[in-house]
Amino acid sequence: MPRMGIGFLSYDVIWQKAEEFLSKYNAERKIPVPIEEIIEFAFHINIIPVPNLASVIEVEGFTSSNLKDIYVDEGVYSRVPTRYRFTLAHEMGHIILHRRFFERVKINSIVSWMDFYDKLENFERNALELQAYDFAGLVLVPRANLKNHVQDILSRPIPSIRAAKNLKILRSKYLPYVIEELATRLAPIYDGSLQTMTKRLNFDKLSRLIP
Amino acid sequence: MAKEEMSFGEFFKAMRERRGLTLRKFCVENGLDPGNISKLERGILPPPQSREKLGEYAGFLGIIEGSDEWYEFFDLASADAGRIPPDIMSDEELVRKLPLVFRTIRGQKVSREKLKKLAEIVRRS
Repeated sequence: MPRMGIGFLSYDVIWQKAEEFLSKYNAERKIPVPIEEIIEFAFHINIIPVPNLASVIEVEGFTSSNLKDIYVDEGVYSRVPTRYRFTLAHEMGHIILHRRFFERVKINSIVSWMDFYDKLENFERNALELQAYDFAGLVLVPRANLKNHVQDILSRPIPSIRAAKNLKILRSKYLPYVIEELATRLAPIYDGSLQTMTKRLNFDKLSRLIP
Repeated sequence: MAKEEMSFGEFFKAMRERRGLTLRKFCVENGLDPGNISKLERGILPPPQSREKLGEYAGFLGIIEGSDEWYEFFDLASADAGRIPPDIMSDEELVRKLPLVFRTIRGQKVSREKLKKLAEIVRRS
């Protein structure tokens, strides 16, 4: 790496990009982040629902190579709002982080598109995808908001933590349960999934706030 | 883009956005199919020619009957009626719509057969 201009981006660099994105497009710092509105109204990108995308190709969403359209599986679009929002934020990750990559790649036929797909190494594809995943998490669940919300709700599991300590249960044993409880309480605030919330709590090492 | 240069679909989209509604919210609010409205806005489907249906859409978009926008909405629908949308996307256009990067739900690489299917799905969307 980099072979096609796909470089390493640290989590902190992606965080900075996510913060720049939020400062510009969610200046009021609304939570849940209005990602759908940002994409349609600020970027003028079409969000196109596609029937059977997930069932036929096993893909929930993607961005067109000209960066003008985001295609989303219709089932996700209509019935799974948390996945829908994450898919949109993920695709914005590609648009913000990988614009130069998109601009550099020249495809002029369907065959050359398939050849390009085949030639892209798995580690390159994974790098692009993981960077977009991190961006999505940091946009939908901004660091500062998350820390404040955790501090606000941390008193809720304290009786359970005390009970666990009295029973001499190790912190490492009860910690996953406390994180799950926090994630469950935070998910509706951010309109996010339990999985997204758990990852964000772990990535920001917020478990250190838990006694 | 000046309004007079707009197609019916672009005008429709501009009116929806003026109401502050995303495509999904607009369709949920009015019981419409988002796939079809998206195609209408992108000029893939022609505007309806029934005045009743156009009037219904205009109402959903907050266009006041008898206003300049009302007449423009109907005029554009009429003008675009003669333009037959291509029922199939050209290869040149399709290539611009295909993804350079995407990940399957299970993370596996996609076969060329499935890539062809994906291209066909995009062509029809």
